[in-house]
Amino acid sequence: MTSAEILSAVQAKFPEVVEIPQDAGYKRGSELYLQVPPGKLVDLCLFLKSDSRLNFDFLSFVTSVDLKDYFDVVYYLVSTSIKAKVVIKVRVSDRANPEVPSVVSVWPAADWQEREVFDLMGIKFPGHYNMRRILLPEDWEGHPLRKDYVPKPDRYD
Amino acid sequence: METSIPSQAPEVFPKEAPPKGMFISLGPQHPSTHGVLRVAITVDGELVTSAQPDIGYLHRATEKLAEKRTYPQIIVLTDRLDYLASMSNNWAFCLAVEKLLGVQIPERADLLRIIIAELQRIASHCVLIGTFGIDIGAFTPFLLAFGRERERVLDLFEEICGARITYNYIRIGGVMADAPDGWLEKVRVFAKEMYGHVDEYDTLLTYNPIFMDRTKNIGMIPPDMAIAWGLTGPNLRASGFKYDVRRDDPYGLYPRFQFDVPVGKIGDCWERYWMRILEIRQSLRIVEQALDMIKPGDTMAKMPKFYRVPPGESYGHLEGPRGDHGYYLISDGSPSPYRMHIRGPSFINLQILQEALKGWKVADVIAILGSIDIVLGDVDR
Repeated sequence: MTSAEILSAVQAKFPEVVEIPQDAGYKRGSELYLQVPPGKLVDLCLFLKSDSRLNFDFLSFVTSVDLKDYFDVVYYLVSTSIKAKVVIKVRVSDRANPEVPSVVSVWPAADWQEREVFDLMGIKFPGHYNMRRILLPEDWEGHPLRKDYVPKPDRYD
Repeated sequence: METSIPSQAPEVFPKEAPPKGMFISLGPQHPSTHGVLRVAITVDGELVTSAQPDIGYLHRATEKLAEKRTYPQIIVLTDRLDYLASMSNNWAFCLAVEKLLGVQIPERADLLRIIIAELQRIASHCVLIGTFGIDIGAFTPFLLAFGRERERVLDLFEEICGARITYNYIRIGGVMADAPDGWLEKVRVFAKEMYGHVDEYDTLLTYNPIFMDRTKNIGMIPPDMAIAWGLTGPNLRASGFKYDVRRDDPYGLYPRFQFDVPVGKIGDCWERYWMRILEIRQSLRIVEQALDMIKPGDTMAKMPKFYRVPPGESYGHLEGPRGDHGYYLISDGSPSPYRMHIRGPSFINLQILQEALKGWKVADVIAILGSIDIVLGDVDR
């Protein structure tokens, strides 16, 4: 299936999902980039995984980007049967209390990766059964991958 | 597939003993964890009822460091992630940057990359063969696979780039330096002899009845569970799921090569080990084909001394020895990336341990953990 066919299959079911337009001078791969409102994320993921034509069975990675005004949570999906790749981006504008629904129930692969995003970027995933820090100590203050993070001087500074 | 997600995870540092059974803390210093990994296990009698890996002891914030480094400087950081596969890490990062730059790699550099990456796979799998044997109680394969064959690969690496662990050899646009005189012939001799060494491992370890008793029909992972948990590499293929980045999302010159993707049937510990044996043979095939193809030529693309990576985003990934290893880059046109995310295969492979250990005996825990083949530098990044 081509990217256009995947997009039309998705939009037939979820009209609020849009393809992210490519700006002039902005390089990008051949993947299909989709912008999804947080409320529709889990339904869209379930559809992408269970639809027999699409069959996006492999969640390659979950990550997040701090774009100063908002956060992007990025999901990279691969369909091993039709060899297609889709990048889903969810925009979170609330910097004080950012939340994106968890997709652990769709792909358990998201388990530790969502915890990592929470740990390093401070985005919470309601619906996750174990939303705790994973790489940093439990009593760490702040989320280091945020652009406004100020590291505390330690004995080496 | 129905996934069984518990409503609440067990505590990593429980304040009181579980109502039934016993709590065991495996690690963080334990010979079979191959690094600093702690697994919090609760057992009922001899059966494991829950397992929670506790990671982060080796976290070095590579993603944050990368935001303050220029692109060529980041290659040095990637060496330190999966330190048994530094060449593959270098290459994966360079793939992502080269996608943004749109640079064409000279053929000789691309073939050198393939030879190096496949030798790295052989060296890395030799570590698993050695250490997995030790985990189960077989000491001799370690002396051969780790102490003899891997050393030969490291000698070859030392000759081509001067380092034995942290190579920094694959650079953006090509490779650091051409192979020294006679190096390719040495690789050919090694490849020829290595086939016999792999047969030797088969007689020593693969079909050893004690080893098979400890690993056959232990820790089975069905294919739908494996892919849902994001397992990649030999672990995924042992379950019978045929997915290999070299075949399914080819990079470099891999489409020119003839090689098989070995798959297992039931995904037990023995098959996960056996995949490595089969993959070494396939890697040797690829190395020999590359040696036949390679011709004199440039080893670095024509690139300006100072260049800016254009704004954009890219994901470069490859089939590392442990699975799908990738770098997701976001560039804003400045000398360092705006954001770099590392898909570490060990990190994502390790999380299945929470499910894979349940219901197995304490003695099997080490076999299952060892067969997943993690590198803690890649888990904690």
